[in-house]
Amino acid sequence: MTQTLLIARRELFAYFRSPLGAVVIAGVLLIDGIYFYWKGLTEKLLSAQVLQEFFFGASGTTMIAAIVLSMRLLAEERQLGTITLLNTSPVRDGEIVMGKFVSAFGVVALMTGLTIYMPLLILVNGKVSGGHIAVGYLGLLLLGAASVAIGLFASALARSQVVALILGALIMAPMLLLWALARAVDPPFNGFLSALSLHHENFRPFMVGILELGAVAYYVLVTYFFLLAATKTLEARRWR
Amino acid sequence: MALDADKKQSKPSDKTAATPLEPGLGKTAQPAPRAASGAPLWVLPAYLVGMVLVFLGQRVLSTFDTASMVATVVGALSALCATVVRFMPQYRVGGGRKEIERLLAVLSVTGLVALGLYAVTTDAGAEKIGLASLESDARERWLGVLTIAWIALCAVAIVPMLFAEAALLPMRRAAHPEYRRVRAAVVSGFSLVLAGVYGSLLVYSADGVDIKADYSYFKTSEPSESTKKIAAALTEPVTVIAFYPDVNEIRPEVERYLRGVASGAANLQVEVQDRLMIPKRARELRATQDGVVVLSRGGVTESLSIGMDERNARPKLKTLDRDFQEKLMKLVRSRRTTYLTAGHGELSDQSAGTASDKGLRVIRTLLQKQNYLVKDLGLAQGLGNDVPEDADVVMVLGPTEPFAPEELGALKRYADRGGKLLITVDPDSLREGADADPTAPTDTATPTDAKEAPEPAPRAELRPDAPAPLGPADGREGGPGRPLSRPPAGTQRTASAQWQRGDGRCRAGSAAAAVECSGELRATRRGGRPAVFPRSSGTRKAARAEALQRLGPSALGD
Repeated sequence: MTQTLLIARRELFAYFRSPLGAVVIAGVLLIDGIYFYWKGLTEKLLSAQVLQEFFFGASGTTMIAAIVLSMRLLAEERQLGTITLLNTSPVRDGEIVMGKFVSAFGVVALMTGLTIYMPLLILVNGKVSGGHIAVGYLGLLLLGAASVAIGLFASALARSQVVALILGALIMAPMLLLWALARAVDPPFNGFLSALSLHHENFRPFMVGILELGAVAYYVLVTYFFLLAATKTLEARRWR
Repeated sequence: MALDADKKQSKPSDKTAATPLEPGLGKTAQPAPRAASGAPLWVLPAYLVGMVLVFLGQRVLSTFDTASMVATVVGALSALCATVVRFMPQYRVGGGRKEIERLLAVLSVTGLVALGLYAVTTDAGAEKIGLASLESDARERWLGVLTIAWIALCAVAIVPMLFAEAALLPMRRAAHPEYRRVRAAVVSGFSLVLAGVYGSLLVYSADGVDIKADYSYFKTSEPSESTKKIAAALTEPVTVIAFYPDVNEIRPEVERYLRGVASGAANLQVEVQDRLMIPKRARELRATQDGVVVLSRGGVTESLSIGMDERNARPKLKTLDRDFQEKLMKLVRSRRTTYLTAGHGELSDQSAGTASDKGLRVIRTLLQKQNYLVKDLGLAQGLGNDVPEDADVVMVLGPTEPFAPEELGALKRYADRGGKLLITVDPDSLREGADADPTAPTDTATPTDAKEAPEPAPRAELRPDAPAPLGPADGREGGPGRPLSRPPAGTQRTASAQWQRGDGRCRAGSAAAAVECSGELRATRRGGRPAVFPRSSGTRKAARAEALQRLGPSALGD
């Protein structure tokens, strides 16, 4: 645990020592703000619909930001050759992965938290429930965690950050499009594929303010699975 | 970098293992021992291609019989041959190589077992082992378990096999491949697959539990208690089918609502079907599009259109309970006709300008929701001659003008022959100064007085959410309810109407129940005043006193 926190702290500071963290956060806030302005002020929508649209837009930027932030986690170590230090240090692979995940997720959580003023603006002239806002943000954090885990796994596979970014996008894209594939497949596989969809079936309840056990379990398990896969990828040096 | 270093240090080189010593070393050089070879490299592709062919034959080419059969047979044979070839090296090699080949052979067999389980889930396979003869629920349960099992076994076989081959590839030609490397790779793949399978099952189970909390501002309609009571009181089987494709954002909302209604309703069966999967049944139920809920009882159907996309379905989801209850009532109750008298300044008299009264609109809405056809009845509609034959109930709601003798005669004859008559009069609404023909009240109009009400009486209150009684009564729906008797003192001063009947066939509970009371129906309003007042001149108090005096003790009821 101590090693995990040490690695997490070191990585967290690394985000803010380089321009990457600030640039990603600024970009996300800019895009979210423009999208919120477009939906909230230029379209005739109910307050709850504006909130839904905000969460929909924020989910997209969160996923992209999570992939960008996590691309460097292990690929950069490999690029710089510092992964040897990590591998030879008395730290388990699981602790390395967990520490790096915590740091990237912390940045994603900070970035998500900075968007809170937008839903609060709806309250000025509209009516939305606090529960809806809370559930939506919980969904964003869960989606961000799952995306960071996917990006971390891609980073564990790749030798450079660009490849990690592309790999992460390639893993995430089919998961996002599973619902479309589900429409073309016979039962019972269509239900199975639809349930595994990263956004469509599982994020929609959060968008509309419904907290579903199934959706929460899905994101937690996706996060766990890809963290496990990243750990196994690091362990693969024993047999590759 | 460490990875590369590890590789360089510990990975056996193909060259050092399999290549003979260089020729320049002379005669003293001894040839290296020939590496014992394992299964050929093509075994893995053959195995994988076989599995893919089976999948294509069963899932993609299933509509083309010949192609499906060829792909399935070729695929299965390919996988089988690859497995047999995989076993062969075990008898000619030893050491680590033998262990590796054995491990890979076990994984190959696991894949074949998965294929066998899949075969059991097909129609022919299920029939052969007797699954087809099981009850529907048991068969579905078994097929579900077998489907999960073959998918899981397939993943357990293929993923670790790929990991093992990846670990084996650099030392394929080595004289002594390291078994531990391959085993570590298999364990990694195995743990990943198990995590994936367990995770999928957990998500599936969590979805099945359907635990959710709605924090949204606009909530989708939930089944109301009245709808649940109506469903629970069904005496005949009613089937509700929602036609939605398997993947649709509205489907879970509708399904959740219908399952909520069906919970605790023994005679309500709910299905959610893809219309294209059951075209014949959809045709029978006249479901020509998706996004429709069809209720059927016997040969009678009622359909409720909700829509497929969120924009159209959203407003309908909000009123889903109200609309569904209305359709359910129409399905389980036969169509009846209610006549509201007109032309005497009644609340229902549109010419009097009082028809917009909110309370009356509530009554009209309630009656229509419970499958009553509401019509006006006045002199123009033949009330001077007789009450129409199709009248199931006649309601006189707060007249302010006197009835003509012919009209009263028609109402009396109607009541005498067992017609259902509801009369409500508010003396406060009597028009001041209007001349009235002091027509004597009929037997059906009997005042009840709070002071003379010794027994408690259940009330029939007009509430929008009042559940309708169901079950046979009077030869129709509505069971033999509790006998109504006089209300206790002080309980009649209420804004709601009250009905009494001495024969025990009438029950309280709703407006519909009230209008079913027939014969010696007594309706009172506001303090037990006479149901039908002859309008009298003078003050309200005098009019009441005069009326009561004229009616005499016999009018106080039996």
